[in-house]
Amino acid sequence: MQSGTDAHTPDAVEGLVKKAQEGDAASFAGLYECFYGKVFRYVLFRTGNRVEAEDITEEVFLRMLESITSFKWKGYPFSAWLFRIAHNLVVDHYRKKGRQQAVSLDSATGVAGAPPDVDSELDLKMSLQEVYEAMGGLTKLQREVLTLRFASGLSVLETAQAMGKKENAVKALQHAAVKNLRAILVPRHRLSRESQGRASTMESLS
Amino acid sequence: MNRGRELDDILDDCLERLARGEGVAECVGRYPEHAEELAPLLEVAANTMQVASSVSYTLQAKERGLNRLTSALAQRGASRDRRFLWLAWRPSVVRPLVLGIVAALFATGTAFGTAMASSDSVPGDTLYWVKTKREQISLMLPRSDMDRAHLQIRLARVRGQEMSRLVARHRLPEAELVADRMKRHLNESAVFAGLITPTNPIDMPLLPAELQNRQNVIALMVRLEQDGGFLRVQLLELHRTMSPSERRRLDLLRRRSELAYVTFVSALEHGGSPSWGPLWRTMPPRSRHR
Repeated sequence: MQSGTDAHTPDAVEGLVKKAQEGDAASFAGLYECFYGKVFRYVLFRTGNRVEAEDITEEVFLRMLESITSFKWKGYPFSAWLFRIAHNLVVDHYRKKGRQQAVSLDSATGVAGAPPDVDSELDLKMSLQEVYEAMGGLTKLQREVLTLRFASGLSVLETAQAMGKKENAVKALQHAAVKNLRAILVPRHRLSRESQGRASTMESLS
Repeated sequence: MNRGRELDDILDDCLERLARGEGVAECVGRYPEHAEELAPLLEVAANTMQVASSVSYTLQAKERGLNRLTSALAQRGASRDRRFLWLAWRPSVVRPLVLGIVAALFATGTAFGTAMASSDSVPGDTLYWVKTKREQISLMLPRSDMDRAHLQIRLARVRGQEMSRLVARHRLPEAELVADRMKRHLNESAVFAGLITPTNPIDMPLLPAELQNRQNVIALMVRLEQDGGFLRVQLLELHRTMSPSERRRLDLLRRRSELAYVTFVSALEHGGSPSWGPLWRTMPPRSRHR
């Protein structure tokens, strides 16, 4: 399992895009390497299903291949354009499936290969599920902002361009999203701690 | 800047710092006046960031996607690269120009294709309006009276062809209506040729200058005789395929059409003769420059 570093400077990305527009296969592979993880995480957080996320992510890059010649450097980053494709494909996916919300992230972790540390993987899974469910309580736009910012690691500018909004609007959405997320997560944590406390008390009593 | 907007910016700055690896305490320390509000938000954000960024993908899936991308690239490569990809690196001025030319050619081609497709249409067909619009436009173009006379004769021939097609489809009532339109075209042609003159010969000479040119008269006559003869042959051929009642109707239609052509030819032939006189008279005099 890989989380990927996706560390490419904007200049490097620009170089790759220009060469890819000329049909350079290695540059396409470079862009794929650079953005695969980010796109996958975005799609996974939107769909909640690993298999679907993998399929849609593949589709995103095929679309990129089809239409990269239409991309122009007009002051907005390539990532914004790419995530717009991802967003549209996720929307199409929901439209085809006829539902608005994915079910769970149960299959999102620990699919391939033996995890190095079973306990930490279990913790991560629980946390991921928790975060995903909590994000389900946000508005669509708030969820989109947090997914692009936290899961895909886009900057505010990139997020704004990908969503077709102004930076200030994205910052406001981000603020409201984090506030709401906290409002959803904190009571659950409290409940969870209380139940854990009760369980340990019962154990010590027995 | 209002307080809400200021907090949006501060939170964003802190989130950027968290993403770069700075701790929550450090970030809060930068904005002590907002510490109380910032700290709980940053804790949630840091936790969410950590969880979200830790989502992993399988190497198999990534490799599968790359293979699919590579094979799609290879498939497209040979043909597309040679034909269209050069547009991507052309100078920014050339590209829109080329695309504009392509679009213009496409639009022209489409218009030409529609016009061609509509040329065989008859009343009641989907594209018939295209044909009639084209004719109306052609009538508006500036021409000499003699050219207009020729154009009206050409339109009369087109109506004759429509009549034949309608008769072949046993749509005789519609063919009769088209025959009326054909006669109107011939009538218009006669106006432009100068055969229809005002009743007062002082206002207007019996024959306009153009018609006094024998070459023009012969050209019109040849054309009319050809078209009239062709229409006659077509309608006679269709006669055999008709039922007895249709035949009677078709015979009448053919004779009337023939008469329109014959009368026009005769008027041209004897136009200079004082015994013939004008073919039709109109009152008040109509302008020939419409």
